[in-house]
Amino acid sequence: MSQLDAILGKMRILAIDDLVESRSAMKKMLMILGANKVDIAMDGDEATEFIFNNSYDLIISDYNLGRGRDGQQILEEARFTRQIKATCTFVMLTGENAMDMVMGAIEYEPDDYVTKPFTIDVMRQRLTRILNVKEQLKGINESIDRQERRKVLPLCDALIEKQPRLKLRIERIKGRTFMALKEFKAALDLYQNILKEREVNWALLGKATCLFNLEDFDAAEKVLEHTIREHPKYVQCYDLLCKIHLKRKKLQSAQNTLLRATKVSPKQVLRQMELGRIAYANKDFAVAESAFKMSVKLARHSCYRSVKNYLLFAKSLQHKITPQNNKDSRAGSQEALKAVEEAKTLYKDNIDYVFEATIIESTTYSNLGKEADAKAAAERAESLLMEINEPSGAMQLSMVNVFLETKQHAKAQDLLGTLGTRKDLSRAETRELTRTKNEISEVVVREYTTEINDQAIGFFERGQLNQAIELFDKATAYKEAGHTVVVNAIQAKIAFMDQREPTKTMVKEVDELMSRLGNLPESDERYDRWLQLRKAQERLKRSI
Amino acid sequence: MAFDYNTLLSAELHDIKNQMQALLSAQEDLNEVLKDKEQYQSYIANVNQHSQLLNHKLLEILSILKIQNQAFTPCEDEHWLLDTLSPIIHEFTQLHGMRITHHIDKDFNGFYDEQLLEIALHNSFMNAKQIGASQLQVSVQEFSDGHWLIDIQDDGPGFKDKQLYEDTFTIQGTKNGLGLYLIQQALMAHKRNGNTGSIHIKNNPTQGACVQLIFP
Repeated sequence: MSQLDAILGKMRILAIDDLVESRSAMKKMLMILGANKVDIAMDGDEATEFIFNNSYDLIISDYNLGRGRDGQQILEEARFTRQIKATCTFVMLTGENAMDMVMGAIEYEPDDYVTKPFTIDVMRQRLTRILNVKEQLKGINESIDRQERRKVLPLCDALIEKQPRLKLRIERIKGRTFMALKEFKAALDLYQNILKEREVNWALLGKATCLFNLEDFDAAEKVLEHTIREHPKYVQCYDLLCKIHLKRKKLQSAQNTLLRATKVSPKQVLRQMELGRIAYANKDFAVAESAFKMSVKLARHSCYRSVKNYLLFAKSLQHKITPQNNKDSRAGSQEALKAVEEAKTLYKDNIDYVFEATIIESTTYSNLGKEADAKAAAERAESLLMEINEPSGAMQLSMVNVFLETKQHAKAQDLLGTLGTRKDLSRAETRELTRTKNEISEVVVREYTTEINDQAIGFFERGQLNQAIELFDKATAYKEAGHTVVVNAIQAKIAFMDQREPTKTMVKEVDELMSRLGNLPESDERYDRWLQLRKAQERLKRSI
Repeated sequence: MAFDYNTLLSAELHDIKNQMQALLSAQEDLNEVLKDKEQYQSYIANVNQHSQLLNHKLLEILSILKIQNQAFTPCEDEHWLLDTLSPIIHEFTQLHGMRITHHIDKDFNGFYDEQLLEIALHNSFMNAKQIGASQLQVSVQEFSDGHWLIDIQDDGPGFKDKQLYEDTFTIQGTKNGLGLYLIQQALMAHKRNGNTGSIHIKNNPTQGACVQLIFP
């Protein structure tokens, strides 16, 4: 065992366990086995911090770390962000109930796992073994670290030749490399050969993944269903099954599949985020809410932290926020506003995000019936939008909705006008634009055109005909504008031409407005004015 | 909502496992501190023996629960046999005074549920010890169709005829019955290409019993 002494003595080691006794016991055990430099972390956040600041040769983590992230997530994130190298050895300590989740991880499996409770003899034996195996795989892992994927494959073949006992372990790396190179056919052949010998769970998932990428969804689904029957806790299978449902546009099935997976393993951030997004699209806000809530909590200190989690969480809470101010609504609005605040603080340097957060803040207040607060937030959002260099169509659309919620119809209409001229809207945005336009009722537009009409009359009466005409044009641009507005517009234009001089363009504009009015009946209160204006128009026409 | 005993039991067992782990560590500390004090060694050995047994019993409970659970699937994976076997050999030689020899390549690895194999090996060794054996010989045989077995021979009085002709082992009867039953269950949980693991027992031509743990 002196060999293990020597190896461990040179290593930088991190031990992760949530229980204080287990942590110190593990450190002591490692010291007895010959380690010199052992850091200990109590949870995922602390571990991430340590991993970020140091370069470890060996990490030993308990799978179950209490309330935060679990050991598998620490491993996945650290490998995903390349904070730990492929040459770093990761040993997971597990209870038997977590084995399927750990063993089946297709991309980021631990190098070894030890079942609790274990004695020092067991640990000695296992560490000696795995460090020895890892040493043999060193060349391959170094190529992986240098991202020289093409070199990995021949190295794998050479090592299988030399160490046939390590065949399965090496083939697992090979399969992963083929997939990274997008050589799915080669990967599929490899997995199928492995499966002829034995139904290894990761080879089953590998096969299904290849079939999925080769777009044979039926075959992939069949493999996955079989695998889930045999290994009900193998959650990665549910993730892939969900992708198949999404490809087939079966959103409800996708949601149900992910729900099953989150019941088995609730702490995977990416899965919770995906579930939240799908449930939100399905308008299943209760599911979306709990998924995003979990995502916010789990990702707070991880590489997967994203503003979307906060904002979508706040959005998914809106369905329960009402002016009735019941318990649900109070709790919901508090949570929503808290999420919005947290997003604004965390992403204060990103004006786009602050804008989006402020939009949701305004909506929350609107739903609560707090009109003044909603309007204040809307105004903050409006000035943020002005600061943004090239606001996206989606941003403008969300601003339009907030204008409407806060009864600022004129502003909403203006912005809708701008949006209508944009050529870069996505299909979804165009749909949303049409929907918003349709949602604006005729009455609302009438109210709006009347609002402008009143302002225009003010200008007209003060003799500011230019301004009056500009506003009347705006009002009559809506087909919903009433006859009074049209008559007023005609009157302003004729007055203008009488004062200055008639122009062909304006005469034509008046003609168009006249034809919109048609023939007013004598009973109409505007009949006399209309008749006079028609005569004036004829006169102006003759003079040009 | 129905009361979920399984969740409760799992939570309790999880706590017990953690306590067991802490106890084993505390014991390691004690061993370390007292390693030069000859006068305490017999006490330490005694404590070690009982805690090892307790640890083993805990694993056994976990395995029984596992096997009993309808939704149970074994966690078969690649393991190195000596990694699994060595701590058990260590326990039986150090704490129970048995002589154990093996002819197993240090690089031999197989596909099995490690916890279940531990139970099977531990029970096989314990059966031999309880029946009066003092020496064990362990070896491995591999076959071209991929199946393999662990062969355990002892120098005890061997199985009684009645036991040899029974098709299956039941949990009724003696302590030995439970041991063989558990071993059988542990092996039957292993499956490959439609075949299932099994246990085969026989008596050696000259002396002692032979237990074969057969993996599909």
